[in-house]
Amino acid sequence: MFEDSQLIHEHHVDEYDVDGPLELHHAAIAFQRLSQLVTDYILGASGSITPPASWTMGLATTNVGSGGGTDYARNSVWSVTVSTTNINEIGTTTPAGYARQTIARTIAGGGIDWQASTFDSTFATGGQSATADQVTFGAFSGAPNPNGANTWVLTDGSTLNAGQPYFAADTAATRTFADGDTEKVTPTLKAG
Amino acid sequence: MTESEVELFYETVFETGRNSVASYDSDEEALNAAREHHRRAVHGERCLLSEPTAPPAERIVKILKYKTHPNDLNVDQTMSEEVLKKELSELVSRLKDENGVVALDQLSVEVRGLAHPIAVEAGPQDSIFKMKETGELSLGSYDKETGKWADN
Repeated sequence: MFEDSQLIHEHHVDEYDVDGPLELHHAAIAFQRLSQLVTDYILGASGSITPPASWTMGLATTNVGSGGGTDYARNSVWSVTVSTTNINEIGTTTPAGYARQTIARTIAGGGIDWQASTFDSTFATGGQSATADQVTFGAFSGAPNPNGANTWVLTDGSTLNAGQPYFAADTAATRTFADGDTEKVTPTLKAG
Repeated sequence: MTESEVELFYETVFETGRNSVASYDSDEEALNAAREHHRRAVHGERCLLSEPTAPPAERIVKILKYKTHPNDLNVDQTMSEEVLKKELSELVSRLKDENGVVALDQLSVEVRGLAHPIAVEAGPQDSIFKMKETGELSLGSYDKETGKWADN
């Protein structure tokens, strides 16, 4: 299946599934801010650690990896500098049609948002899953710079290489874009 | 910053009802990208040429223009006291039951929704954003036989 649909298990970051007949296992990661929303906002009703008005989806050149020196870390941040554990967004020098896509903070409310969640009671790998409507990037007017998306990142805000990253997963393959291309991503979060 | 350096955002509405937001330097660049994608759809080509198993391209029905990313309707999630009082009054009136009781959980969800940039009542080929567009581009008409575009 082409579509970049991944399933993230919040506490089992090596889990990665593709919806449909194929089941792949690509790297995925839940970043610190997602956990902090659970501890501070959900449990403690924090007024300073709060969710954004809406989620946005970005594409990054860097890989999730497996915890190495240049892989993503739980406290990775967006940065134009490609080094250590930074998340580097495509299209920051030349967008060529690239922009972040919005996912509303609603459930089956119209527009692009989250579908009703489902529950998997499997002890080791189960949890509650939510899948968003598909988002589309482009159409690209040429090659963005940087080009080559290796991960999608659920984040916030529309400013490139900025905002809070919440979770990310590798795309099924490196996606390089050219004139007229679009890219489709359907994210799933499985929290357990 | 000159006008030519201002970042422009465009919302593409596809025939399938999908939407995307894109950043281009000019209307011309936006139109060229949209026309190439639409052309692929007419000819049954894929949406991502570098991926042989990519799904088909989709015809484009609308291109809307914004001065900022339409996600940025109310990033700070703030509202003036005057407007908030008016909104709260309307929400309480709408949510109260026949006994005049309002469920606080429901009210908090609705208050939170005041800052949402996406319009839940959008039709299948409408903008999905609450932000009002500043203009619309005309894609023109494509002649499949000649492969040429004509401005409408």
